[in-house]
Amino acid sequence: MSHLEARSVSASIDSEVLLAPVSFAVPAGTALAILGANGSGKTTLLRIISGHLRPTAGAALLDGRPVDERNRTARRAISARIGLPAFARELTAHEQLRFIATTWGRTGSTATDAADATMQQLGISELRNRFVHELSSGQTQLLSLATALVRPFDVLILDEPEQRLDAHRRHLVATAVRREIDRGASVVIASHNVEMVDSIADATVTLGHQ
Amino acid sequence: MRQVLRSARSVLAERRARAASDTGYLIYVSVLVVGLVAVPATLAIVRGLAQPPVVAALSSPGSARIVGMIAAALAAGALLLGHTRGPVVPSPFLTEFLAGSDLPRHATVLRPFLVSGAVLACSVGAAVGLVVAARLVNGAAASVSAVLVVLGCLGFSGLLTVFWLMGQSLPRRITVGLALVVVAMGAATNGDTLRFTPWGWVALLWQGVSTGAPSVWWPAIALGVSSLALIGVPALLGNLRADEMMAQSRRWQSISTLVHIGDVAGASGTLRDPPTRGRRRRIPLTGPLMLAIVQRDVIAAGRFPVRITLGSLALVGAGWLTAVTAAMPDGADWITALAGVSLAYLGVGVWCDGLRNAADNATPGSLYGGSPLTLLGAHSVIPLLAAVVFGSLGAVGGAVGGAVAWWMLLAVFIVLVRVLDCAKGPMPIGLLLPVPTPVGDVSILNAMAWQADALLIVLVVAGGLTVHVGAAGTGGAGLGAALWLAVAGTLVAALALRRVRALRR
Repeated sequence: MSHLEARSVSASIDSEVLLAPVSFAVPAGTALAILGANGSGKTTLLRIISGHLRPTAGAALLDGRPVDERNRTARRAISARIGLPAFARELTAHEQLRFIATTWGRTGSTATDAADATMQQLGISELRNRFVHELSSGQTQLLSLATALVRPFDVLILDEPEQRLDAHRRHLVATAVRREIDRGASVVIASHNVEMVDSIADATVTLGHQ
Repeated sequence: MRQVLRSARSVLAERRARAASDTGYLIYVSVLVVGLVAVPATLAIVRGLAQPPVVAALSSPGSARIVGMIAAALAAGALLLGHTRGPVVPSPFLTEFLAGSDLPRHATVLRPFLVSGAVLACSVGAAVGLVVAARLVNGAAASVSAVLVVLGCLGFSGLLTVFWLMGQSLPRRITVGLALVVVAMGAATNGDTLRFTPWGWVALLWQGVSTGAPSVWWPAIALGVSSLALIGVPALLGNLRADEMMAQSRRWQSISTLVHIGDVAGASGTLRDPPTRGRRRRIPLTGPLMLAIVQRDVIAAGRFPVRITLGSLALVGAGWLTAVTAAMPDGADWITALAGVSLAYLGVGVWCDGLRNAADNATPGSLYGGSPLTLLGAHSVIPLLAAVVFGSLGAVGGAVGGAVAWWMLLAVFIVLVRVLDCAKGPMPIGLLLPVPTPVGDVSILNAMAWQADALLIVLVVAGGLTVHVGAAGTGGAGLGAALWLAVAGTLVAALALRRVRALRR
């Protein structure tokens, strides 16, 4: 399992500060919640620690090495869901998950089992034969989260997983994420939902308003 | 009711009122477009159609039947098109608040319908006018028959507009059934049966022009009278469903926005209907990743039966057209070659959903574990197989020696160009920088060239070399063309590789 760390990471464009310097560590088997008002830099921080954005200063480290999604090891270790993914409109919800699991090396029945288990955890098993355009916004959000959970990973990064979900679904998501933490994964979520933060996070970091 | 409508429209009219400077600019741009684009393009088309082989084909005894079949195909096409883009597509705002009001729908959406009908009538009139003008340029004397065929076609356009509205207003199963009946009747139309259908009347009018037979008035009158089908328009407008109208309105607003910002790929994606069937057909996803992807692409393709059938037929037609290019006279070989490779490019496109999704996921944050190149390569297998198999069927039908071998090379090249197109990414912002010239800002030409680069490559390279092969036969010159195609294919592959790497950044 992996150890994720941010050392004084910050981001700015010209003189515009997108993210003020922030530091934290997320050991294996723990979860960190990023809090802060709109515009405080939560999503920017998630993009940095998932290797999609280079910090202007400081460093995001995975097991002591800079995180860069161009690195295959980093891609394999980190599963990040920031915004909606590029779904394949010609596949059903279950097939999307099976196909994703297959591309990450879980072939045949293993991929099917992974897709089944993920859908069951998130309470969307009944949607298995729906195409993406046939899902409601909340169901699309759950499927989006499922794409991050169905593949192997050591670090899970989620941006506002509670979006468009009712209380029951938020609880299901929190339980699924908690299960990954218990398995030994490091988890970072950005959230505005107190209940979800309380049920998932071992620590919090609050970003200042810009 | 009229008072309410007038008041509602006056609110919008005030918002849309143009300043005098805007109107002046609009006139300036219109004059430039007409002078620099429309007139030269019209002259080029007329001169092209006035070539002796083309005029000979237009004047042949069998041309009337082909005209009848084209007219029937247009009628069937109008019935099918209405489901995707009907004649009544007001803005989403008007759909919501005007069509959704308690005013009768035949009044609230009549205006967009009339505009669509007028555009269709102008298009039909222009197309027929160009063909008739080409005959006059070629030396044919102006005749009553020529006037009658133009008038008759204008009448036929009224009927087409009604078919188009039926496609939007009536249930899909009815319009698809009607379209099949129209196609069957069009294919069976011949000789005496021409007099019983509107498309047959168009054919009879054309017969008067092409064969110089005495002018017959009654088909033109019949077509004019058939426009009385417009009487049914209020009922059809009243039958339009708000949800479906709104879906079309939103879709076309998205398309116009995407085209405006230069995202033609996104716009064409909006046009592709999402799947509704085949969800219970299981994709095995067994074996190595390459095999799993092939299984995925084959079964996913089956979820778009109409699109896949049309795309496959397009590939058969493309194979046939490229094969018969060798047998065409000078001047006409360009037409078949360019039509063939264009059709091939479009036909392969329907098999490229997996390829497009792989390209969408070639960016950072991909859903998939395999490398983008592995995924793109694996997703290219099915488009290539489809192009080779269906195109070869058409090429064999063309029955010209060496045509199948040439088609297979073309198929590989066209799939490579499809990969290049899928990996395009967003338009570089630099292409939108103003390019001032004496005739105004021509930066739009840069943007258009960037949008259409894949099709341009196919037309220039594949089309040009197909003409060359046709003229040179299958000897040494044919081998030379194959080598040039291989070189072009290598360059396209290198460019595609560069684009895929750029997507990762």
